Amino acid sequence: MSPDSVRKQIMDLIDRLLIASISVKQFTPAIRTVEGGAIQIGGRPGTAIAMRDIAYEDIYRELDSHDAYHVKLVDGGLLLFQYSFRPDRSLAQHRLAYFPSPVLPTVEEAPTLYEKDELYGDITARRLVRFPVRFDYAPDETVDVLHPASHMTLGQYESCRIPVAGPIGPSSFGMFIIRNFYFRAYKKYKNNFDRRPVQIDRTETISANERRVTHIVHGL
Amino acid sequence: MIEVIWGSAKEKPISSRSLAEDLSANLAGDGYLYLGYPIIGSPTGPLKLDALLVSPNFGLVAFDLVEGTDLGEFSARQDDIASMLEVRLKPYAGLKTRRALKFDINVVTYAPAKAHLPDAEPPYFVANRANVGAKVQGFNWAAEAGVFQNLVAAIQVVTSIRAGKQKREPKKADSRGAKLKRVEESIANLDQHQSQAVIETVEGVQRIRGLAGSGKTIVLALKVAYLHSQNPSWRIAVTFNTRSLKEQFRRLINNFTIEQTGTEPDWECIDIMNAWGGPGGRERDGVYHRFCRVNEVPFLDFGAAKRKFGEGKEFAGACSEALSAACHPVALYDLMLIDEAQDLPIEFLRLCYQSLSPPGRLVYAYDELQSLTGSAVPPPEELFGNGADGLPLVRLNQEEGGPRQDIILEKCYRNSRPLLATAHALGFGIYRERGLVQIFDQDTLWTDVGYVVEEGELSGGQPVTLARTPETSPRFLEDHSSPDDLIQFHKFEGSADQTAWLLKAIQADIHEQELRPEDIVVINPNPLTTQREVGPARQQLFAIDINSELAGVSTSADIFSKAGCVTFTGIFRAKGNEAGMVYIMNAQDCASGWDKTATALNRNRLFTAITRSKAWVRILGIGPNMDLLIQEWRTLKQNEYKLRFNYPTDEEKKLLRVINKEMRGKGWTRRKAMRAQRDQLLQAVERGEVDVDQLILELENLKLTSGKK
Repeated sequence: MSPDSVRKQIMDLIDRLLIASISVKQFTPAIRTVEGGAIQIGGRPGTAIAMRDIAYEDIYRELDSHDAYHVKLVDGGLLLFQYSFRPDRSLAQHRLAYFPSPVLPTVEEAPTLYEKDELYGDITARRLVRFPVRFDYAPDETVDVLHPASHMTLGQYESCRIPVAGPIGPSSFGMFIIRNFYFRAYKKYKNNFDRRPVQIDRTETISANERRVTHIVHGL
Repeated sequence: MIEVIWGSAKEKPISSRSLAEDLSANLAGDGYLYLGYPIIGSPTGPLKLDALLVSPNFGLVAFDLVEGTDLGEFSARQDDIASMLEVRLKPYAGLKTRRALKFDINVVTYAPAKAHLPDAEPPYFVANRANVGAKVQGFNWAAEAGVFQNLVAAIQVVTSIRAGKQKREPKKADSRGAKLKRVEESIANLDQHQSQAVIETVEGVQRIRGLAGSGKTIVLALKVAYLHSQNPSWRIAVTFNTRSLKEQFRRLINNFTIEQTGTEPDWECIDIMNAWGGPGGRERDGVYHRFCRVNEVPFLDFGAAKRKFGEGKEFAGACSEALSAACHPVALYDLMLIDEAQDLPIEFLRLCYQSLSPPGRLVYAYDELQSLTGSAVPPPEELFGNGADGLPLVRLNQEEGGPRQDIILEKCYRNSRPLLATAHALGFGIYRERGLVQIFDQDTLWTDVGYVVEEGELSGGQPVTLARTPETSPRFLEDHSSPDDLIQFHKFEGSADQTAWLLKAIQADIHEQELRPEDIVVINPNPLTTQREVGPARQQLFAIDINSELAGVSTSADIFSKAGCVTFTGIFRAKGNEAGMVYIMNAQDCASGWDKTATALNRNRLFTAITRSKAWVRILGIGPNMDLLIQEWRTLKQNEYKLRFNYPTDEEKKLLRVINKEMRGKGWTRRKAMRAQRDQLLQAVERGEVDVDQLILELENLKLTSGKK
């Protein structure tokens, strides 16, 4: 995984989301070289709030109103991609997040609203439970099994760290979200989404002990 | 003539009315008498003026009204009123010489019920019914006439509606950016009609009609601010069906209330919500949902309503069912305001009316040409239905005296004359080869919405020429660019060509013409294809570093939230949006429909799309239907953007209406039956009962023969 391949994958993913019209607003991830030669991708002002211990509605509203995301999906779901690399260009950490809107109906609840611009399509009694999904990679904070280097967190649970076999690339993360939570759009634009992205080498960081607990094996 | 503008005078109804009567009957002079206006924010809270007379004969006279016979400390009140008015008027340069106002501020305490008045020495005045006319006649206007015009303008400034607080710093004097800046600066204040519409308060139903861009939304928001300031205890609801309007309303009402009273509105008393709504807290609530919850009748969501009542009748069905289930609807609000009423079913308007406390204060605003769903708004007698006595529940008074219940905003501040004429000509099909598509029911509406009859007359079978005047379509909206630049039609070979042209044009707008991305809106009028059609253009723009937003429920229509993005939108979300440059793609979809109703509906969509533009519009499309639209527009241009046609007779008008209704029924059932037959055929194919290849062959042959026709 290199800064260049990561940036290319993010841009490529945004392109595909635009073609499928499921990204309503998007921002090119910034690339910044910090002192000493480390490289950060995807820094956006205002994203720190995502980690604070406050009500999810407030987190979402803050992120939304300050455009603190890279992609806003058609139902208000927000995608955030942040990677940082060491001066030797090796991956130091990543934070990938999906924040669904707590207010708007999801694509699954109100398909006609999003596909046909149905005027009253947002009126739905069906309510799915919304929860944020995060993939974090932080090898410097690793504690075997208790805090795996690469892990997935569901619903902002503080100690939810499901081990993941290794760091995850932008396409892998984006398509995980699209395939599972935007299935209709995925199916409709399958060709667009299934094209092979820019290659990123798959690496594993999971420990032998972590393999013994239930964990996730990431794809390409 | 003294023209009375009836504001909210709930606290002093009797004295207000008698003052209006006394002054309009007994004064030989001109002017405006405002009742319950203005409100002036002060450090000690808002000061509400009971009445204010502005007259070129008698100058500025404020009234302190007394309902009973106890005058109290009237001189202290008069001092307050005079000094606050001075504070309010002094900021205006045209009203003062150095630091003094050019005219006197007179204050009269008026107590119609008091027979014997105490002595008062100038500058204090006390009057009752017997001598109020004489007292007012004792004042006179000493300053020159120009100052009077400035005074009227200053009094009528309910607020400054300068929308663009964002910076626009064009470098070239003749770039589109510079032109747009000048246009925006010209639309700074409300005009007299608009401010009267804000103030006039009806104890009952009030209807506001106006063209797109005549300021209906702003008038409604100001009305909320004004009436909330006057009646802080009223429960007020504002409703609409475009979710994107919500933030806009909230911001407008907040700003206006602060301007009026110096304090923020009490949001506990004001609900800004969707027409439908659903469970899940205040943010998701809506009028229909609240009605169901409070009256304990079953709530239907969109899907359930669709299954029950069929496509296109979801909301009408849901509202009508809720209304009949609730025997004695609970009074939810003291005042309701409905924007975009043309897009809401009449059942919903009835439901609103039934949810009001007496006397049923309801304000509804609409533009009949903007109906996107194909239903026209009937007159109020029909709209609100009949009461238990068989008589219409609502009738709009036309009689003299009292606030106006029927308001028309004829001046259009958004679209220039050529643009609006194009929108109307295409919307009605004035120059359509196959005749009119639709027509106003009432002949007077033409003049109401700001046209004048230049030649001929508005009567059946007669040729007529209708044109807009500088009065109703201000010149500054069109003078900045040549007519050929204001409006353009372009036809393309295919979708890719259209996208390529669009890309180039947007690039030029931003890089050469100094428009900001947020000055540009791209509209795809067919809601079914928007998702598919806008993808490639947005992706290609992104690739050349021009960002875009796809308008939807998750984005806001508020200009403040879209910095740096070109907006792409379907027709439903285009409502409430406006921009300097509007691109309409795939306009060919609007040329006609599969029956007359669908044609009218599609034409309305084109109308709505065109009227989003504050300055320029580019209408793009593909195929032979685009030729039809271009041809109609060319004829309009040759006619100097005047509508020249044979006015339909009553019979023809009826036919236009009747055909619309009948065709809808017939076509609908036929199509449904065809669909069923087709499904059967396909199933037969699946079962192997029909030879597929044979069928395809027959279809191919059919295609050839129908192609030859």
